[in-house]
Amino acid sequence: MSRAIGWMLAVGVCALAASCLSCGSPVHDQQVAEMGPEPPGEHPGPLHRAGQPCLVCHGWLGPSHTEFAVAGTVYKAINDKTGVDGAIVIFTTPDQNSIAVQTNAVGNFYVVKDRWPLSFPYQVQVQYPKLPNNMKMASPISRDGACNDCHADPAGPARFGHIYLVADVADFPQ
Amino acid sequence: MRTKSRTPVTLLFTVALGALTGAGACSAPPASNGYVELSEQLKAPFENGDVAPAIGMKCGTLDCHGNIARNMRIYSQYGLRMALNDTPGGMPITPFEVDADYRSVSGLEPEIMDQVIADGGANPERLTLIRKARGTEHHKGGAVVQVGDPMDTCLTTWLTGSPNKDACDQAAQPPAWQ
Repeated sequence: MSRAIGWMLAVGVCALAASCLSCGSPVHDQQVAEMGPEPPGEHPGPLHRAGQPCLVCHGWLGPSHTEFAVAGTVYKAINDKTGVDGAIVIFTTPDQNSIAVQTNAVGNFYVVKDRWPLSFPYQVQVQYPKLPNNMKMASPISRDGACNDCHADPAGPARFGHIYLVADVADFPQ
Repeated sequence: MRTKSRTPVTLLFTVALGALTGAGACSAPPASNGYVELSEQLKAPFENGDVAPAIGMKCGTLDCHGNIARNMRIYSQYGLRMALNDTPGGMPITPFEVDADYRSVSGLEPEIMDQVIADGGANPERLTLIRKARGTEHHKGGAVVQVGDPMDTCLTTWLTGSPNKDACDQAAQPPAWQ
C-alpha cells in the first residue's frame, strides 16, 4: 500500500514539474512560430533572417541561447532593400556613454546582452563612411532593443519601415 | 380576527421595506454624478498643442506608450499615428491625436488630477503620471524626467493651468545627445 502511495506521489511530482517547465508564454510561442523556418539557403548565424525582428528569438524567452541587447538591419535606401555592409550604428545615452557596432555583409548588426554596457534610454545614429551625414533617429529608444520591430515593412501608423541610409538609391555612393 | 389581519400588514411592511432597500441600492451616484469634470484650464493647453508634442517625444515612442498594447496610449508625430495612411515621422500631430492623448493622460487618475489642479498644481507627485515619469515609482521606462528639467517643468506647470511653453517646446525636440 505504502509503495503504491509512493509511486503516486512520484508521478504527481513529475507531472507538476513538467507542467511548470512548460509554463512558457503562448504569445511568444506564437511569435516564434510566425517567424517560420529559415529562408532557403540560410542557416542560423550572423547573416540569417535579415530584416526580421531579431529579439523574438534572441530575447530572454529564447529559443536561441544567444540573447541580444540590440539588433537590427540597415539597408541602402527606402526603395532598395539591399543590406549595407560596413555601416556603423552608434547608440548614445543622455550622459554621453556610447557604443558602436558595425553591420555585416547582409546589413545585420547586433550586440549580445552580456557585452551591452548601456541602459535606456538611448538615441541612435547610423554612420556610413561614404556618406557626408549620419542618419539620425528622431525619437529615443526607451525600452526595446529590437530595432526591426518598429523598423518593419510596410510602413504604417505603428511602423517606420526599414532602416535606410538614403531616401533614393540613386543617391547611394558607389 | 386580529390574527388574520396581521398577516397582510406584515406582508405590506416587508414589501415596503424591500422596495425601499431596492430603491436605495439603485439610487443615483454620489454628488459627483460618477464622473469628474476636469478644469478647462487643463485641456486648453493640450488643444493649443503646447503639451502633447512634449509628452509624445518623451513618453510616446513606439516601444513605449506609443505601442497599442500598452496603457496610457500616446499618439505623436514620431510615434504611433491615428490615421491609417500616416506614418511615424510623417505629418505633425493632428487635433484628433491631441485629443486622444489628453484623454489618455487625464483619464488615469481624474479625481486626483482634479485635486492637484484645485491646489494650483501643488504636490504633483500625488499623480502616478508624475511619479512614474520621475522614476520614484517603478516604471519600466525608468526615470524619463529629472525634477526641474524641461519635461518635468512642462508637466508640472501644465497642472497649474499655465504650462511653461518654452519648457514644453524644448522637451518636444528630439534629444541632442549625440
